[in-house]
Amino acid sequence: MMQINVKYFAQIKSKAGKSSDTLEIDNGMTLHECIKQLGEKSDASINELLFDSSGNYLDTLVLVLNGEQVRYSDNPEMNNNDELMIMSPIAGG
Amino acid sequence: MKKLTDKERAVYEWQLDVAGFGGEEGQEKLKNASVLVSRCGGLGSVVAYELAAAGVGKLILAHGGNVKESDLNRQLLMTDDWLGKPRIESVERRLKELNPRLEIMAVNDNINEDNAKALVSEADVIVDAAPLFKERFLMNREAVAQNKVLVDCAMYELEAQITTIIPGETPCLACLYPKEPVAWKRRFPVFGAVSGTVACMGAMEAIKVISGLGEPLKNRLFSMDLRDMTFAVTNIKRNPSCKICG
Ligand SMILES: [Zn+2]
Repeated sequence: MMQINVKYFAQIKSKAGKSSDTLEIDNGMTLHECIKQLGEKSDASINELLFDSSGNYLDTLVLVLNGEQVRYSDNPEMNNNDELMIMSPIAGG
Repeated sequence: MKKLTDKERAVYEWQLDVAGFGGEEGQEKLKNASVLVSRCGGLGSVVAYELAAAGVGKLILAHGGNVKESDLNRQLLMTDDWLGKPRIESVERRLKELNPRLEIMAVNDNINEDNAKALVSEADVIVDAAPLFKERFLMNREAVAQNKVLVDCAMYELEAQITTIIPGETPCLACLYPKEPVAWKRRFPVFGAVSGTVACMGAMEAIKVISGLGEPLKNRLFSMDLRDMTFAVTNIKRNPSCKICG
């Protein structure tokens, strides 16, 4: 098993009700599997910000892996103790 | 290029000595520059105020609607005595009180499909402070098409973020958000001190870009959470399949 440290930014943090979380995933899992598992773990509270009702990834979030932006489509393999920051889109007003 | 007057030399005395700004030459660049700020709410009010204070020669300001009570916790160019009257008039009045030399192009409307192209064409730099992604994507599209620098500022609750978009060199807003965000709501929790913090950074980015001072926030997304005072700089990258700049 590997541990992933997840940080939330903006609305997804409000939805999750916490600023960070840890996720236990199997060795060799990729970003896609990691995010899917995160949505399932959260009792659907953040799932609606990650996936549409058909289960397609929404692609409206900025994903940051160990301080570097990663694109969902690049689907990198995750490593133990990775830090994944999930940033909701925000605006002005 | 318009030269500085004696009055301006006196007003900007303290910033003329900033290392790397270029003294009077840097100040003349600001004087001859124009910046579009949309809208002039919690973020845009403070951006516009700081740019007016710094001596940017012309501001193009777009903000529709009338002043409401719920504007007053953060929209610092709106005042209680202006409730029910056009916001843009309050904005213009307050900026002129600070800097009567400032040229203002005041637009009593928000950025939309009909005005985006023309308003962006008036500006050397754009500061995006709008609350709706539709407006933000319009400004981004026009900034990229017209090869203008766009400083993108945003806030939510006690969090805020900023990046400086330079077409062809950095990701654009559509690179960051390939699809229009679904969960964004027009009304969201925020303190004026949060929008004001990131707004000052946005104004500084515009000043840097115009004068050549320092290093703009290129290819980096600065984010902060004032709840626990954590700050992060994330390296961001262009999306090769971006529909706007790819
Ligand atoms: Zn782009």
